[in-house]
Amino acid sequence: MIHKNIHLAFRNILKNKGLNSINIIGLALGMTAVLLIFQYIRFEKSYDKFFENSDRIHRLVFYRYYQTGLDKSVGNNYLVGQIAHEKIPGIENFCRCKKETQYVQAGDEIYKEERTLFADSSFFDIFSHKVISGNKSEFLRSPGVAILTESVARKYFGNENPIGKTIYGVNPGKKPVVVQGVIKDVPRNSHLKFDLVISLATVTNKSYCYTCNNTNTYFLLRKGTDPESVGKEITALAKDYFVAQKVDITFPIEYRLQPVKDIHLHSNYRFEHEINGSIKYVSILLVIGFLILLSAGLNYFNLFSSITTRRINGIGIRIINGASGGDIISEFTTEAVVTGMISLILSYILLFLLFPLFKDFLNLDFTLSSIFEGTTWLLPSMLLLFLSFLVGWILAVRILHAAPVSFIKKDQSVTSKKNNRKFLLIGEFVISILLIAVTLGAMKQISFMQKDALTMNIDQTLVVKRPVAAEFNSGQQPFQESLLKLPEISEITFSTISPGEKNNWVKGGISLKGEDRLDYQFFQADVAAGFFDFFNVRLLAGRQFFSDETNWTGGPRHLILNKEAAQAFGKNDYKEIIGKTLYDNDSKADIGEIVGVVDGYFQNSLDQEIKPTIFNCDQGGYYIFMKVQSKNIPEVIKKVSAEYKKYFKDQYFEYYFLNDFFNAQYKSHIQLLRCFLLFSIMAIIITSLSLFGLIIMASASRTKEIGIRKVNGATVAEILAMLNRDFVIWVMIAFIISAPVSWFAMHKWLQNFAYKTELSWWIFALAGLLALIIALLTVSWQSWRAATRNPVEALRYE
Amino acid sequence: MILLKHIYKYYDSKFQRTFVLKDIDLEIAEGEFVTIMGPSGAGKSTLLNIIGMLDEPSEGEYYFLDQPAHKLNEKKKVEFHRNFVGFIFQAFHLIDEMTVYENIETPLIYKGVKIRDRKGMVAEMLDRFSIVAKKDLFPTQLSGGQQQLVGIARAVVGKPKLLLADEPTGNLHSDQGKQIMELLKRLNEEGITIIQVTHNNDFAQYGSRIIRLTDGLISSDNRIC
Repeated sequence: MIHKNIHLAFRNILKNKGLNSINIIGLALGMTAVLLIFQYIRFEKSYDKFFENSDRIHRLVFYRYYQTGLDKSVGNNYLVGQIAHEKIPGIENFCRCKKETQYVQAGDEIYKEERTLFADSSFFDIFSHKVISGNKSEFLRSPGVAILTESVARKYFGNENPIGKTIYGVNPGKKPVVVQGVIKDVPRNSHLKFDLVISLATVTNKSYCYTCNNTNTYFLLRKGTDPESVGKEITALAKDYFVAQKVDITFPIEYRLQPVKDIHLHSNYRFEHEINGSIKYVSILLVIGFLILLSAGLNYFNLFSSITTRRINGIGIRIINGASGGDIISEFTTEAVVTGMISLILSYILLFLLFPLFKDFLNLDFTLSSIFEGTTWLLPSMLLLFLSFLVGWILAVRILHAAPVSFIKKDQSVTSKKNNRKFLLIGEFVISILLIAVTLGAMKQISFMQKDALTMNIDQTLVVKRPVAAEFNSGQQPFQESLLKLPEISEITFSTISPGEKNNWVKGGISLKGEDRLDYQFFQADVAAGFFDFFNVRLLAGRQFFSDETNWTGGPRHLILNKEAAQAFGKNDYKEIIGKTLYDNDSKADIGEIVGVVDGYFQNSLDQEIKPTIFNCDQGGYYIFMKVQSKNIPEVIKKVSAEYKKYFKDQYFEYYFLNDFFNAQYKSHIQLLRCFLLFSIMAIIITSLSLFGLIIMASASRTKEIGIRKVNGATVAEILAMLNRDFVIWVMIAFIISAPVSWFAMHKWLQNFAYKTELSWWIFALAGLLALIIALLTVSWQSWRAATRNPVEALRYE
Repeated sequence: MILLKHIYKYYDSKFQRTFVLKDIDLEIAEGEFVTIMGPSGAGKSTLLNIIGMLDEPSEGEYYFLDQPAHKLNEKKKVEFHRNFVGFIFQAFHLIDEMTVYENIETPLIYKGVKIRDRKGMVAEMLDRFSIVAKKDLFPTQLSGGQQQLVGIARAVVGKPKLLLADEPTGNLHSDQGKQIMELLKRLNEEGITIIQVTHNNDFAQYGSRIIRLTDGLISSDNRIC
């Protein structure tokens, strides 16, 4: 029986090739979107699970409850891990590591390795990276040794065996480091990605800051140990330690353990290794995926329903010939599942074919997982087949209730109901308009952040980072002067930090002299005198730094605050703060005198608030900013690098354009925007397919009506208007429904941004208009054909 | 075989009750060939539909083979359609997506007949009606007369006791009609009870009894010799 049903199902599907292909393609598209999303979610959730013992690996997080807010950081000091390991039995092992940018010389080449990790010897005991060569038990046990990843080993030494060879840490100095071993490249789904590891012992010499909180600490807990209680114990230990050292901590602190598997999706603390994913994105994508599948499902239901309603005669005949309700249901569900199956196979093919495109467009970090890997493929596939079954079942039951034998009583054919079509199509339009509006809104927000809200001027700005070591300080001034002589360069400034970087120079315990100690977290930076002018940063009160500020010896240092820092001190009238002295309660010394308040210096991307910052004026900052006047960029780079080589011999020439660098912070937002765009297009295609199918059926069933109207004098234009009028009304209804929903969705999403664009009315209007235009384009060809058909043909067969 | 007692069929709307059948008392024995005649709107098709359990009477009792049909549930009705009755229609009502062979096979599938037996039974029908050559064609590829033949083949392949025919020759011209009527007569002689509805007086003579309906009432009930 099933065999017969399948045979019949195929024949039926082939009979209505046009409508069925629309159906199948629409559903396949929706399914492709869902499969892609499942792949992404699987990858995001798989981070760090491949380590042996990944259940027992935890990271130490340092919570500081400032009055300005909670600071969560995974930068800890050098000592806490060791003390915890000694005193707490639940901790089996610990390691410290630090990711830095290190310039490495291998042979004659100097490489800038931004993912250099400095780590304890226990690092590879805790993180089970695959060793390719070298003796693991020796790894990182002494200063001056390194482990390379496979690609880096190949980059430095080609196919030669790197073990025993020497590379040099340069910029500053030239420190030899011996290669001990090679490991497999770090898998993409790890939060801690690096290209090479140098032993931490190499840098822990006399000048190392053991109490600075800038090192990551990981623990391997014993089986059955409760991480929460370990966190509490460490907190207690830390407090005892601070008391013993007579360090005053006046704001609450806490240490907590974070499971390594949670890191990627649930944290973005300070001193993170890279910008992590976010469980929010996973949720947003799930919602979008669901919407697309819903749209495709509505399409499927719509078209399948129309196709089967045409066959209501056949169903009545079957019942008269002895079919039971169960027989009819089984025929319908078989056809529905067969159609679903075809769609499913098509969606697999589509995904495999299109994945390289998706990967490029969305900047995806993963490859498709094997088909035989359970949930990622099986779960959505089963879901689709089940939903197909459900559609068939619902339609069968509905048709059975419609008393199909009734037509036979009157010996005529039955006409299909139009009402349900309307709601389903409106539903699809709502989803499409929603996605279009959200995409437009996201575009507006990103454009707003990058252009309108960014009041400081970062265009045409070339940034050169000179080598940091003290020996190069003297070269900076002459280098800058020689650059100014170049016709292409018009202005120069410098500082210790570049816009677009994370500022890690934070300090608590600062207050206005004479006032109470505040436990706010302030950021600091050293800048050149003309820094704010260079970037068009506004002065709100007081004055800029004098050009000879750094030679000022006639009193306290001069400081400039940003407006957020002034507000932190409770001064909303900025003039009040001018002339006041800042005092450091920890070192019990004056910091300096406030001479100015500025506004509009953006350190980070505009989804974040500007943090309260204190600016010092300083002579040397290693980021050199210059305004470029020429359009011939390669020429400019050549000239600048030639000057660089004169003053910083044999050093790595590093440069970037500031707007590129700054805007790179929006990478994940742009990725999300592209996601929205891609899925909007999918939804539009699905809705258009739906519409196309509908208009074919509508014009077919109204052929006679059109013929009669034409015979009675209707023009082609009037017929077109009549046919299209319904669709236009439906799009308008869909617009009215989706406008508030999309406004709400975007409003919520914008809460994640410090600088929000306005949700102007034209975003929604444009989305609705786009949907309308697409709808009209889709139906126009078919309605044109229907409207221009010779009425004689329509009326010939009554 | 068929016993109708005080059958009424009416439709209620707002303040009006429209009667289609009024107080029908009818008895039909096995083996009879009955023709129901009457003007348009007299209720002939409705009566046929009630006998065929495609419709339910508003009032009254209907006994089929001494079973109270007006009290049957869905399952019993399905059984009835599978085992006891076959239908043929003016508009043939073949399933367009199926071949001739499959159309005839349909009732057997629902009865659960095994494939080997089905093959034999369908082949017998095709042979009997001389449409073997057409077995893989679709209904749209056949003439009206041939389609009705298929309809009849389908209706009787399961060897039902009763055959209900609603204007079987209505869409055919007179030669084809005669052919069909001859066929029906032969089937009746083989033992199938036939009830037909027709406008055609000549074709009515093929039967053994003529019942005339006027305005929902039986106005005459005569045997033909």
